Amino acid sequence: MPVLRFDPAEGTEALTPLRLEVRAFLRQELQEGSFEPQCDSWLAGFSPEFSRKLGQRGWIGMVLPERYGGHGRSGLERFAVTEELLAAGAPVAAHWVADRQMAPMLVRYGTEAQCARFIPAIARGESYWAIGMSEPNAGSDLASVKTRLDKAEDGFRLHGQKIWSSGAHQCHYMVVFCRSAPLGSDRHAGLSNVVVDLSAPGVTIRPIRLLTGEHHFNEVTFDDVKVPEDMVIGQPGDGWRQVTAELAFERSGPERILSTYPLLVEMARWAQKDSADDGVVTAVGTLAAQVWSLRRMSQAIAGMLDQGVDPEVEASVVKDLGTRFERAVAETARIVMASEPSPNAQSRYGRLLAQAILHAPGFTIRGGTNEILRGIVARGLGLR
Amino acid sequence: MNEMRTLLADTARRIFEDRCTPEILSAAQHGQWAQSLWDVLEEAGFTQVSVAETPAEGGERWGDALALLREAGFYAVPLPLSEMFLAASLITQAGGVIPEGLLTLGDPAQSRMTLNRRGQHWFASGTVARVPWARFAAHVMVAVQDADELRWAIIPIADGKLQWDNNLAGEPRDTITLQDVEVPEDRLDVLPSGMDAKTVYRLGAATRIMMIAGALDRVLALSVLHAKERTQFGRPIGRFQAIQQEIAIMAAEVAAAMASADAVLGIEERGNDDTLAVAAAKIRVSQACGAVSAAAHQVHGAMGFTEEYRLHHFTQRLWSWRDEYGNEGFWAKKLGQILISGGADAMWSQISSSL
Repeated sequence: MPVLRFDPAEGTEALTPLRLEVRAFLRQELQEGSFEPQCDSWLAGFSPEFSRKLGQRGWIGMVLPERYGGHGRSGLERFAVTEELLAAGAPVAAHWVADRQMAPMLVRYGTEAQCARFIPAIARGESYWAIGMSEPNAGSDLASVKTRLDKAEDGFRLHGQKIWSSGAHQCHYMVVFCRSAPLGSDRHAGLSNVVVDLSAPGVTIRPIRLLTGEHHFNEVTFDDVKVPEDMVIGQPGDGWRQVTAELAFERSGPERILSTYPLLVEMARWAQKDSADDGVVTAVGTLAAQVWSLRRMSQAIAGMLDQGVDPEVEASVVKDLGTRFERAVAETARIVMASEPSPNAQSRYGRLLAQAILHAPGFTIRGGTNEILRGIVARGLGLR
Repeated sequence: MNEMRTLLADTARRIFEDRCTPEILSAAQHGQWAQSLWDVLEEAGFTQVSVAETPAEGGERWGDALALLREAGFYAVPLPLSEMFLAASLITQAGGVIPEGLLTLGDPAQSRMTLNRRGQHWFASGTVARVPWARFAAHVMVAVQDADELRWAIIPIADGKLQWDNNLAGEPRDTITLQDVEVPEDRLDVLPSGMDAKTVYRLGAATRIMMIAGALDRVLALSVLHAKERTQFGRPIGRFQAIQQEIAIMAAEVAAAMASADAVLGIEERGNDDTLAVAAAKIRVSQACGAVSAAAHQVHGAMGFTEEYRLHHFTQRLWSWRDEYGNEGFWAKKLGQILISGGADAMWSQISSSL
């Protein structure tokens, strides 16, 4: 039976100075009031100013090649920095997607020219990218996308619609996953990824509001949008392999565990008071044990990725456990620290609790629904 | 894992695979001592595995012992390996002599023993409950209260009265009662100087973490196998999504438990006194016990609920070991206290720097 391996990452002690650097920076920022800790900060905390500061410090594009403005550092180093930022609930949403997957995709499959053109600004925290994968009729079944890339005289034309694109209304570019050849017997063939300038003619962005009324998601329509040849990533037809290659990385990161960590901090703060009962203390311990074990697993995966291992099954496990834990923080907090939640609560605890509860449905849906991921685990165990 | 330890674990696995048969497990559950299995382990030197030749090796030997306990958990080995390993390790570190015969260890939290002095002699009285395998053991290492000081003694079990009891897996957990039993000087203060009961308790928890991790892994393996072999409605039940989801959730729990056990092994063999890590790990693996055993019994259906089928040897141990040396509630409160005492804003630093 295949064993799920989470070999402890090596050399993590050496990351401590880097972590301390990030913490010192965050302390400074908090003192200056440049941000308030929030849940889901990698999705909801869009701050070009903050992203630029991180870029200046070399904390974006960390694993990207230096010749493109990256910093040639390891995945474990990036892991340490992103963990610190998310644990603090810092507003990293603007550059998050570009840094996590778009730039690495370009490095892996793009041309020199594409890398030289796009990556420097991404690494500076000045260029923001959105994901163009899901469509109204293509969610879990990503291969069934209908957005078409047609050959034209001067390159290509893009027709179709993408949905759930987080931050697209504030982004510069989108990587659009589309069908470039007719559907044949192999449904994973004939798919491509193209870079689309979101300010191009024919691109329409319409907000999709969350149940909270917040605007993060968008529906992006492409009406005969011109896509130059040099905006295709890799070869046409290579799209499926390109999107699946990075999945272990995207699914196992600290953003699958720490979205509600700022709420746990407020629980601990409450528990420091004399009036706090054992219930709160025990709840903090119970939840902290999850953080402790989950982050070790996430770090182990970061280490494995650095070694060239691609732990698809392990990443699915971390995402499943981590996102359920994220919801559990809110569901536990509200019992031991009872209040009637409100987004406009006076206390930070009250605001974070409300954020966490209202955002919770998304945790286990985004990035691959947990049910799909369990199917991957089942396959990994030989059951299907 | 280093080469020596890999070799050790592989050898243990082979012995357990060959010798720790379903018949042995059933007999043990009905009160029979697995003498032949014990003899094989003793002959192979396994009962000495935690004994270090030099103090410098102590951590590595303890790591070897913990690694073996994980294998023992996988095979539900019905022997007091954890007690022998822990007692032998402590006595060796204290520079003492390990007594002949089977040695067990009493959980300090279960001890109500006092030590009284009369002239130049010491006498122990009181009870210690839930002593693993006491009825088959020659000696017990136990905590005894001497006025303000807690001391540790090695006492012949024949000098006391036994009241038999078991845990949910049928493993002996006997109460020993002593009435004015003399304890010779050389059988007193057998703990390394400076070590307190909390540390022994933490080490005990570490043994359970490893044993539980092994047993959890076995329960998952049995469930996957069953799902592939059992057919209903014309196909293996593992083809049904409901079963796949159930097993995938189980696998996630087991993965978290294994990662927690790996962490504890590394910390313990480095000799780090990391209560935070042991607390977190004991919480995590104990939680996994309930979820995994429930899911496993669901997947196995009625057959898995019988005495005849082997699943229960493992699930009954999970239900027992999770409550030994502190359950989730106990350690969660402890962990909460540790984190809160450092301040909410330093909580992240504490969690992330626990190496």
